[in-house]
Amino acid sequence: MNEPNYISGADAIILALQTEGVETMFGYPGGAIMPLYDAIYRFGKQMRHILTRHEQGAIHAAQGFARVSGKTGVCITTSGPGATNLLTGLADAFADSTPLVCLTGQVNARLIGSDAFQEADILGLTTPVTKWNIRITDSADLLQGLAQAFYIARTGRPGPVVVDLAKNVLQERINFDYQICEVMPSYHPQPVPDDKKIRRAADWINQSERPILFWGQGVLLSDASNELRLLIDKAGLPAASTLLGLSAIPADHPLNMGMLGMHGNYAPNVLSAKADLIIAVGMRFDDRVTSDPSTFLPNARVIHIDIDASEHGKVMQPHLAVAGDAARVLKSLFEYVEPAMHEDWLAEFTALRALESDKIMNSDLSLSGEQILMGAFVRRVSELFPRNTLVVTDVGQHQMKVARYFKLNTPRSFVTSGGLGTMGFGLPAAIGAKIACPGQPVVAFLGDGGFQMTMQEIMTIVQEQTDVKVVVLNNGFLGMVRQWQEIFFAKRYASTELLNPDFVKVVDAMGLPSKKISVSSEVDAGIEWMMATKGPCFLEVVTDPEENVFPMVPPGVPVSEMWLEKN
Amino acid sequence: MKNSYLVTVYAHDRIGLLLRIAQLVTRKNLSIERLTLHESAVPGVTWINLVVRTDVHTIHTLVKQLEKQIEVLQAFHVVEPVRVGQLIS
Repeated sequence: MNEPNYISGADAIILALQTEGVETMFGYPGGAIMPLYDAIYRFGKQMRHILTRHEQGAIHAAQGFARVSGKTGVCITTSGPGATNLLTGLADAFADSTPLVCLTGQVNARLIGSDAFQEADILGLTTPVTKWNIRITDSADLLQGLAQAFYIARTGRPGPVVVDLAKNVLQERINFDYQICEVMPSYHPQPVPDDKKIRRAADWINQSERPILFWGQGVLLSDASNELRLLIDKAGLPAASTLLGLSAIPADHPLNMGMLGMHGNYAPNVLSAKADLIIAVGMRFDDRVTSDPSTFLPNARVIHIDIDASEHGKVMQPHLAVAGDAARVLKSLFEYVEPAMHEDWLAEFTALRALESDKIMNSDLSLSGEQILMGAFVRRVSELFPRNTLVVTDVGQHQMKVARYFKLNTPRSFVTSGGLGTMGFGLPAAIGAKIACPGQPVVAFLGDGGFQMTMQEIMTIVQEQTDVKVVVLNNGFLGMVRQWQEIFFAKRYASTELLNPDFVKVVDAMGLPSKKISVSSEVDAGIEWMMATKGPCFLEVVTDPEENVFPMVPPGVPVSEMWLEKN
Repeated sequence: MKNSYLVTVYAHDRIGLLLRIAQLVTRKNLSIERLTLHESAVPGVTWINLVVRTDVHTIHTLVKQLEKQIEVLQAFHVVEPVRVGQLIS
């Protein structure tokens, strides 16, 4: 039997994190969490702590880290405001199924409930935006709580977990006998898929004349890109992705028909109404994909494959629901489906794709005008940067342009805030992505609005010398809202025009090489400058102020009636 | 059509359990008409009964979301809507 090994709770947390394979944490210190920071200091180079400039930056960085690496992101903050500043990031990670463990300081157990300094009910505040949370007031519960937190965050449908640590727990001495958690009696993260249902799904695929496969982030989360590709290749299935599923299959794959949804590609949206079978894998029929669900998929049988059974029937009632891990189900489906080609059906996609190119893409991607168009700039970055580039975006028009025009090739190479649509996400998430994958180039595309929500994180880049190429596409507007005001509110631009600072001067003063381009002829030189600059740098791209994102599914309009231009 | 449904949840007891159950009901924009909660025959396992008034689709999604909570061992609802008077004990 091992001798008892008594150490402080704070030291035990660091050792537990090391046992879980954590090497990097993102955070911001403060009173209640100081004993843990002292332990981080004493452990020295064994643990890397990234000091952001705001707790929101810390959690978004942890999200970026988790999204590109597949590992659990770890974030540490103090009690009260430190922890409340995590809420947006928690809600974002919850919506986008990102595995996080957030350690928040809490006042001493004997003070809880007394309105002590920097006390907030973090358990109460975070309950609706976490997969699980726990408050630890007794050091005897610390190690089991941490082990369960990591187990819950990474397994099944991943999500954020908060561990709220009373200050006394960090200081009390405990026996370190940490055991990685592998089972919990009331939690069954891996439902066993029903083989009969998979066989029936395969039969339906074999019978179908006009099938489409929809895939979402579940494919990336279960590392099922290969299984997906093998299946669509064998069964000749045209496939389309949600925003968060992008990058699972290379953009140039002949059966990859692009993106679904409000600003997705024309062909998969329009033809979804003609399809006789939809195989939906690891996606949740978000309203940005379905528009009005009662008008969505009028002619199709729907097979819904998702690890989270509570998604079955939440928005769309599937004709066949399979609860299971995407990789496992796709692998079985591959065995059961017969090789097929759907030439006539694919020809319909090709025709609509040509229409979209003609009506939208050719002008969107043109560099012949004087003003820079967002899509044209994004496509040039896509062409000039290496194939393994990681792309991070903020939220808004630029996000849709990147999703549409950056040719993503490798799984987990695209990080964006999908479900919650959190402006300010992009810059800190890019920091986390670069720290997770230091060998890959990272480009952050931001809008001028979102950049100013978390622009202080430029200093994190400077302090850590994180090699992120930061691009701000500056149209002087909150562009997506302005586009809606133009189309639906008769151009009444209420509070969407921004008076911006001289970004180049601001970022330069922070210590980052900076450059600005404002005409199309400078685009290539600007991109080459970024590539040639060693380390992080900042490029401001002044774009057409009133450029719109088309095609578009206006609210309430069936996706099959997607607009190619303003009606 | 809306009816009152009786939802039963068995879950490991811990601080914050009731809040986690209640916020799922709130998120569906429902109010809880009746709520009882006590330790079940199994020590450490709480038995929660709640009545909500909603439609059949919402009750199905609510129960599935209750069931997926980490502490929840089992959640189900009675298929037949609760009749007036049935709840008076």
